[in-house]
Amino acid sequence: MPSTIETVETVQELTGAYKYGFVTDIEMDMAPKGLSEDTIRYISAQKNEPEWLLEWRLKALSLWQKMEEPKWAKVDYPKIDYQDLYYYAAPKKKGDGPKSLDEVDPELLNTYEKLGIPLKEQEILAGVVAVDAVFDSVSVATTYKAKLEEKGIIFCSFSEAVHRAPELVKKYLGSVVPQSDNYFACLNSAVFSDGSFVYVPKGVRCPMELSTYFRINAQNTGQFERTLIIVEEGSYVSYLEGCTAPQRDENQLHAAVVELIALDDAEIKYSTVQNWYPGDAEGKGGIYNFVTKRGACRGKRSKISWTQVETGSAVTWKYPSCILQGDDSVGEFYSVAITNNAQQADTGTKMIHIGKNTRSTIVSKGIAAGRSDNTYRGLVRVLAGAEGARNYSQCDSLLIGDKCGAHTVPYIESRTPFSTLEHEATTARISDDQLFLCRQRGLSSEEAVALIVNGFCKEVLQNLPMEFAVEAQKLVGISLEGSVG
Amino acid sequence: MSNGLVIKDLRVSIGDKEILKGINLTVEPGVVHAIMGPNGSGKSTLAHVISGRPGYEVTGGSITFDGHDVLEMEPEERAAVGLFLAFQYPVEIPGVTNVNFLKTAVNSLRKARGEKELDPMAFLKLLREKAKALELPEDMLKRQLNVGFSGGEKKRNEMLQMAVLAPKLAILDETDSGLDIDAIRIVAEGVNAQRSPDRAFLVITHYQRLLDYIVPDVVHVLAYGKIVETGGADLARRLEKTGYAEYTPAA
Amino acid sequence: MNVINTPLLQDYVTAAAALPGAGDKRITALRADAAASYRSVGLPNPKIEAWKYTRLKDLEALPFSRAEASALVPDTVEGSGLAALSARIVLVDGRFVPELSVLPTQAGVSVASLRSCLEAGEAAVVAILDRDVDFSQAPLAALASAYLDDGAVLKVEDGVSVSKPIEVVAFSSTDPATPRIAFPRLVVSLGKGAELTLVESFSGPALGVYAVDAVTDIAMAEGAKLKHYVLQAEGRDATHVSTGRCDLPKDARYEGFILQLGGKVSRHEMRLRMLGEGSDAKLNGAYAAKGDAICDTTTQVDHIAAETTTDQVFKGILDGKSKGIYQGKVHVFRDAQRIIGNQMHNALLLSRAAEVDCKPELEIYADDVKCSHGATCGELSDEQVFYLRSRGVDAVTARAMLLEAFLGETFAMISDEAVSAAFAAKASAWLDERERA
Repeated sequence: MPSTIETVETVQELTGAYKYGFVTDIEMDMAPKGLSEDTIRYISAQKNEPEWLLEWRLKALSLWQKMEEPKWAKVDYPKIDYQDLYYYAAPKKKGDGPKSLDEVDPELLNTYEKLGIPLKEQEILAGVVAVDAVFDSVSVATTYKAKLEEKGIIFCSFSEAVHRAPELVKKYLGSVVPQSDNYFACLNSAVFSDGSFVYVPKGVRCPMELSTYFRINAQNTGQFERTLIIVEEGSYVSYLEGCTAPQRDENQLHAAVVELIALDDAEIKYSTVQNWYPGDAEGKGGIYNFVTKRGACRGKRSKISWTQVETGSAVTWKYPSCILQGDDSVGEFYSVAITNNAQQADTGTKMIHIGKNTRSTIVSKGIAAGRSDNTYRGLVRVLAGAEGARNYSQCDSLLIGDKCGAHTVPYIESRTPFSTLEHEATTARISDDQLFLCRQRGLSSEEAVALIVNGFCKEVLQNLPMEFAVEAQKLVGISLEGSVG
Repeated sequence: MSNGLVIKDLRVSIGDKEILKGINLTVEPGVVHAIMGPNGSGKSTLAHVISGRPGYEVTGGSITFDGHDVLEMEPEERAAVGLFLAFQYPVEIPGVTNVNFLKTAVNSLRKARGEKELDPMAFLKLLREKAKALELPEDMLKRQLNVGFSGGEKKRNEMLQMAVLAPKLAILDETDSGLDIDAIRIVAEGVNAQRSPDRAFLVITHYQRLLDYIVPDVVHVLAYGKIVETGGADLARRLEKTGYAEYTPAA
Repeated sequence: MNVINTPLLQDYVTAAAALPGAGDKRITALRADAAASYRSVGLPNPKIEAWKYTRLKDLEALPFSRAEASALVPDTVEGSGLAALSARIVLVDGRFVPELSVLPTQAGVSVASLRSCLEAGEAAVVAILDRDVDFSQAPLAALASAYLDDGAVLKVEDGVSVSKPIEVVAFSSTDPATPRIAFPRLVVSLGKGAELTLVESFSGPALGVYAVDAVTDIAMAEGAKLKHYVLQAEGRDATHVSTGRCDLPKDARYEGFILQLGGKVSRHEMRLRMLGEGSDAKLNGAYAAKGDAICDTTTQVDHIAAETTTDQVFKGILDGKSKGIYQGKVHVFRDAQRIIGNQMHNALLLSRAAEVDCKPELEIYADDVKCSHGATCGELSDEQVFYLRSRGVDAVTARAMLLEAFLGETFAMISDEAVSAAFAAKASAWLDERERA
């Protein structure tokens, strides 16, 4: 039997090993099922929001009701009944809610413990990472707040930011991703529940990694978090997010919006390890991950760098983008997207060059296994004034087995001669020779596949903060268990 | 006027950074000068500025060649008065054959000097003769300019261009970089064969070994944007032993 | 549905009844399907992914009508300028004109008017026309098929190797009174092991509005070899759309080249379907546009059978306010293993107002494949210009040399030397004209 076939079989046997599929049994406050003005008023009231924010949500709802769900992505899923979902679910508060970590429901702390995200500060990676933990629709805990406040950094849940930094929220909310941007972003604008907020004042280098850990727990509930990160002149932050969800037979909707703003000389590094429940081997269940992430390099010499490792979700629709407005600003997109079994991913980026001498780099590694479909879709657009713009794009696909699909759809649009755009794409597979070599040297076919795939993704994985790179490497191996060819 | 190359207090910047901080240099007709110096000292910048490569800002000083104000001239005008740069990294031009390129260049120069263009037969004769002297295979002439050439082939092709275009001053910008000893010998033989009383050379190199084969009349050390020492061929040999450590950056 | 329509299909029922072969069920069904498809989609618009970048503005704005048989047949029509030909077929406004054509004399090579084939209900021709076509992404091909009328049918029998190229010149006239659209149609059939060099030239008056909606259907039998070279040199005010399709069975060889130099809005689309193992295709091309011209080259390669190979290289030069578009899709079907499919597009922008849009696309469902695409766009390399200038070549000549060399690399891929020289000369003339302007 050729080693590739054997590998495919090995991988198939191993699937279904989603480690994070457990459910936390906890009492929840839920909004009434379905989407209406009432739902939105309920969410807004739960969060004690100011009137302007309620109005903003309601405007988004009325816009959304006139929009059509996008069909252009290469993903296929049954029609979503938006009236058959819960839009808000929060663990029941005991009294006024926890004042400190000690008061957080132990059941929740256990949940994060099990996910490998301890929320007790002394246990968190020796103080190099601060964590905001979002459980279904609300943030349940944020660590190291006090330490960050000393530097003037605000790191808190979005709901809290609305009260703590209302002017910043009002100024920047929707300034990068307008309400009407797209169907899912508009839905999010109407019903977003919680998420993280980061503000780094002028001239401050954030001393630790900021991290949000998203967990969907409740059944039939959509998760609509909203993240807003503002980095002032000359400042720096590295932010990362992780996501998991229980193993359920029903599909669940996750429609998040992330907005980043970098002013002059500011740098934002945004890393994602997305491991939502992908569904079972037959494609039953799993998260629909329809996410809008966009960063605006507003300032001169600003830089936004997206790194993503996408291994979960049944369907992914996600294009973290950079609007390079400031002269000499830099956008980066490093992506590993792995699809296995019946997963579908349509992911990529947009680099919009507006300022002079703006630069962007795109490195995308798509790995398709099982019966999955994996699409890179990316836009590089250079506007007329963006003289000296440069883009380099590299999109490589690896196919494992002969039942999957790997697709590359780049759009390259240039309106100035004084720019240099280069795009390269290749497809490959793991060859019998490569596998044989590894196995001859003593690796199991599973280890060999993990090794080869990690090598294939190396350029991307090395961009992750060190603490997460190791985790991501393991994840790459696990995601492909049972799928290589 | 044939007084060669005269550089006076030349100051050059790239962006905000001053690279050359007041260079004074005279290269007389028929004399071989070598410029040595550590990496980043400004050697290549000097070669580029003399030949008119874009991207440098001359902030002060002057360059004249046989009385022409070089800094006011376009690159092709500089070529027409007899300045030649052998590139450190010869440029590849797909779709343009070596023959076509050289023919266009020769005739452009002749036109600029008010001479009659060479007819194709006369040109080919000249080209073959020069190629043979450099031991260049004939098929190299038909290939696209520098496309797919090895490092050695590219440098030999630069020597061929020099032989065909017959400049008054040839600037060799680190011609030895990336070459093995055999290739260096071939290049040096090409240069030596072209030494003559009316042809000067400015040989820019980091290593002394090229100067074993092209023995210079004058050696300059360029460090941190200034010529810090000038001597004879023995200066190069001394530097081989001591290196450039003695030339520390100016405060 | 918001369909942009034109008066084109208004009198369709009456018009269709007068078209050749109207009594033949297969032919009428083919026309009816095409008409229905065009009606549902309308003129190209950004909602059709394959037409994301190109709008046919004249067709949207002006009341085009179908070109009737031209009373004014010109004495001569310009083509590629090739002297040595086995045959020269001339279509004027889509109609086969025997008086202007030189028919082949070689045994096993035949040319007929499409009209006569349709009237006779020739099964082989209808079968080629009736291959499944996805009109949803090709509304202009649908429109042309709705009006399926005249054109040329070229047949090469099994084992026949046509000695010299055959050129098909599609000339369109302009009518100052009313804008007209012509539907030149070419059907080519190559027998087993047959060999042909086919040159298609499109031309028309230098000035004056007209539209061309051409379709070329090529069917090859096993082991056939086709060189298919297209020269689009329409007039400055022309709207040109042509849609080509070629199916390659086992061991068939295809070498294509598309040179686009004319038209106000032009779109040349070529689709290759690799149906048989061992088939191989090369599809290359060049384009140049200036003024406010829009020049679109779109290719689709379907690797349906295993062990098929394709290679594509396209280059374009854009000056003035022109816009260039290259879209190329390589689709590897499930189980089509051991595929090689490469694509490259390079564009040079010569002016601040010019624009290029490029979409190379891979859609792959088999794992043992080597597919790649590359795309670059930018201006002429400063390095190269400086290198030439440092050797004494003045800036204008240096740039001209580099532009000619840039496009010249593609002409070197045309294996027929006469065609290669003729196409290079056309491009060179375009560059000279640009320089003088």
